[in-house]
Amino acid sequence: MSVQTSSAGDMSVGSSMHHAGLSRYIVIGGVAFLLFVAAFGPLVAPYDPFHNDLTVTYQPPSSDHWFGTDALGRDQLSRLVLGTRTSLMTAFVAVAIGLVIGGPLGVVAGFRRGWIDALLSRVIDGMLAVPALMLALTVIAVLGPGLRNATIVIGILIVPWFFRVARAATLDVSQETYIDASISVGCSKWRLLLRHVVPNIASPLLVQVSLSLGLAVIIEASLSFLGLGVRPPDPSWGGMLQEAAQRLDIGYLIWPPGLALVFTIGIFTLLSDAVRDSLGASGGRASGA
Amino acid sequence: MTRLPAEALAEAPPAGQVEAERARRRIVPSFVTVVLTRVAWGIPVLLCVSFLIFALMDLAPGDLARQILGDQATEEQLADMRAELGLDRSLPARWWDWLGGAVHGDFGVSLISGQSVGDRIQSALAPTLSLALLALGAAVVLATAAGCLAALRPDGVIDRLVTLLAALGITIPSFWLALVLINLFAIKLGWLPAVGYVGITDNPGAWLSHLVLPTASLTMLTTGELARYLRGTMRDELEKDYVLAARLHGLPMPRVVFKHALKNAAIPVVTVIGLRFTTLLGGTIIVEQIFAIRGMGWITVDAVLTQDYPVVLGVVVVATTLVLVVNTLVDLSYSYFNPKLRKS
Amino acid sequence: MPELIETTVVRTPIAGAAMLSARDVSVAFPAARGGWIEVVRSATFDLHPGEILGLVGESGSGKTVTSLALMGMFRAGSRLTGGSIAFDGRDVTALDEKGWRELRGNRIAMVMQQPARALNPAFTVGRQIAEVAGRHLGLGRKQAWEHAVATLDRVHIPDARQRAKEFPHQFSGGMAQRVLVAMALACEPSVIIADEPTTALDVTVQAHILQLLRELVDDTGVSILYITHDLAVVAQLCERAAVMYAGEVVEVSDVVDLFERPRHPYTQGLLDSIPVGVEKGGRLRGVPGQIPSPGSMPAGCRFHPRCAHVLDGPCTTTPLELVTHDRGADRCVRSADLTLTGVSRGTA
Repeated sequence: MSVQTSSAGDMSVGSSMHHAGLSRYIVIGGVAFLLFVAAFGPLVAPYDPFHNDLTVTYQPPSSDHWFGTDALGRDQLSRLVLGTRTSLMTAFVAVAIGLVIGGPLGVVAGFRRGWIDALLSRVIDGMLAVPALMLALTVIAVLGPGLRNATIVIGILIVPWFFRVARAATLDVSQETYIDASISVGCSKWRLLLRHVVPNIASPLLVQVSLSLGLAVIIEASLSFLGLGVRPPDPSWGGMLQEAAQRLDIGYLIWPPGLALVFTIGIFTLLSDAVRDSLGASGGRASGA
Repeated sequence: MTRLPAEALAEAPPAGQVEAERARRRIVPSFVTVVLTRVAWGIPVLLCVSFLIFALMDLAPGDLARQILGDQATEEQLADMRAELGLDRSLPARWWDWLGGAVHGDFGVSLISGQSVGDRIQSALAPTLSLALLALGAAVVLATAAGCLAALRPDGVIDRLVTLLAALGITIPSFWLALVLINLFAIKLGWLPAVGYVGITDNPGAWLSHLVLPTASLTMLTTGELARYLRGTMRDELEKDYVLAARLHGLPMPRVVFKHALKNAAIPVVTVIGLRFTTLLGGTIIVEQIFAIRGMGWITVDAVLTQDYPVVLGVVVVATTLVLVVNTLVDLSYSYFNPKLRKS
Repeated sequence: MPELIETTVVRTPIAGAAMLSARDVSVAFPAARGGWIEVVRSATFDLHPGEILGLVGESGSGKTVTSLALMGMFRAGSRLTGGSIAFDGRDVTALDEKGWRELRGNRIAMVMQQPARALNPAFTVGRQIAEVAGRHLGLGRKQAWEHAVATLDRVHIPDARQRAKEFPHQFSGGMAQRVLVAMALACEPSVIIADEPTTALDVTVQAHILQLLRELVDDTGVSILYITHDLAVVAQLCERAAVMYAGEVVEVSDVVDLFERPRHPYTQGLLDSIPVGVEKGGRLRGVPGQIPSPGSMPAGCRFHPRCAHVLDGPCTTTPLELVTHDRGADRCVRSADLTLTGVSRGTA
């Protein structure tokens, strides 16, 4: 029993449209800002991020050092800026690893089905059942700490998401009758794959890319916090938080890296929303971070 | 459910209704079935995980025998040690041995301390479970309140506030939040302790006060997500006819929302709870480091830093088992929320 | 359908004060671009004790909005923009939410359509009834449950005690509709508003529900406002009927008069649409045109663009009022001089 509203029912659709436009600008601006800082920031940073100056340790923010200095007298702003580059690059590379490994595996599983699918899915389920950070730590335990290994580990962690998305999308596409039709006219499996399957899974994969970026950033920060990612004296947001944790009575060391993280993760989250919105319902099959 | 003849005559249902009746009588999973299905799914996953990690450990550089005997050991001593440790056997065989022990709770011994891994994990379970379950419980309570209130007045002040907080909860890293909370509440204000864990049986008050800040850091992410989901599902439910019907019967709005609509809105959200438990367990790793709580997360980090592989393996397997248990409980709860799933 | 002619029962007009009365009730909804859109205008009719009044109209005529307004329920930001509502001699137009909660489900109850959607799938049927009964009648848990079982029994649900423990999805359409009737009955209301309760059901099941309602009126003297678009049901069940078109009540009269001597061309159009006595392959008659949307009402009589008897001037300039006469009311300036033929009795 719905109320007889006729045309009186469609109210306030306008306000949500307005929000969509605004958030798109925020996303573009935010991403551009991050990229800019990562690319050019270290060139214009006021100090050398590695330069120790023991005469100015633990300085609160001032006109000399906008974000203050740490235990070794290093300028926090400069370190923050260089850390931006580290975080973004690690995230991009890790997501790329995840896509390059997880995507094709997912397509194969979805396309061939049978025992390959069963086996791969089991392994992927296993990877997802273990808490992410725990799995990361386990692999690091074997490979050893360091940024290079950390990047690989994060990439491995992201593989299951891409696997699931690619597999689900491939399954969807294979159900379509035009696949059967193509096979019946003698289309080879490879051609089928390239011309029909791949273009159709591109948008869900794109959504997953945007979702995974935020996840990659936070895992890298977590690993660096534990000292297993970026090793000192290289700056990273996680590492800076670790140093801040040594002196929790000092507030100003905690905020800059934390806010940088929040900002970055927030922008990536908005990005994933925007990508999902503009690609429509076909995007976003597997849940991300 | 048999139908009495009188009822059947009174109805004289045409074909469409017969179909509907057949559909209703379809066999529906019972409690036991759900548990068995989950276990049947979970066991291969556990086996898989344990094997993968076992194999991974194997790849690690470093000779175990040498590590134990030291650099001065002769080749013969090393060979003997390897035989004793069973290192000369094949990977699958060694894994099988380990599995046999693991099923009984014997996860081997720590390479560093020689202490039984099982014992070590056992003593670490209480803090981590306290933390994870408290965080989950807090998240459920807070998210329920927030989601329901937000859905009551769509686009109102509370709705916008909840949406904002939920978004924040998802973007704020829990370990940073932990640092901020410690800085604020433990150091600046001195209200709560910053480090340590006290067993609940030793001193319930201290147990709680030591857990407030860690739980608060952990719970943000889950609360944010659950609140977002619940707000959405509640909004959908509140549009439904039975809600209007309940109000038309004179039931007050709070009761309609928190009792009638909530039970239906909870179903999709409960699924998320199961998934988020995994993330919560992962979150305990760093939170335990920050608050110096000797839980499973702390042990994991410690073992990774010292390359104490049996401990790592044991912790991961136990953690995964916990995740599976929680997901099974979630599955079982579905039939409470959705009576259509109960055996008719 | 052929029963329409043979079994129309002559019923005595009901006298006495109205149980539920609507006078010039208007309801408006907020428009997307600000301002208000009037969905119901100046609805007037009375429901007398022990009477079944039909509220007839197509989809979009405003019958549901009107019925909700009669229970003080205004959805999606709508409000009462004019008129008054009286219940059992008391003016409830300005009654607050708390006051309405006392009345709803208690003295005045609604039976909605689509029972599958109107019942909460997560609770047993017995619990849902017991909750309403317990709340309004002040019963304890056990008493409320017993009462629920008894009510289910009263609507002829076999094995009521067992079925009270079952969930809505375990009931067939007809049985579930009975459950809705039971819920409405639980507190012995004076008025039941039934909003198209049989639309989603099969014809045979429908007959049982109608029988049940008739029985209730005969046994307890409850008044029923029966909302429907189906004139056959009106003929079988109702003593009087009000016809709504485009948000207005256009005619109120005895059912017999309605069928044999309608006073509004729209009513005549509805009667003509009944496929009685149409030969195989013959044409079905309908009312040409479409119901206007609330935002764009025609000037003057709202029905005039579709009316066969339209007169330029009287029918097309000023909005018309509902005029009462000795046997009812109508909203047609030409009703005095038109002699509408009523329901056709098929080819002789």
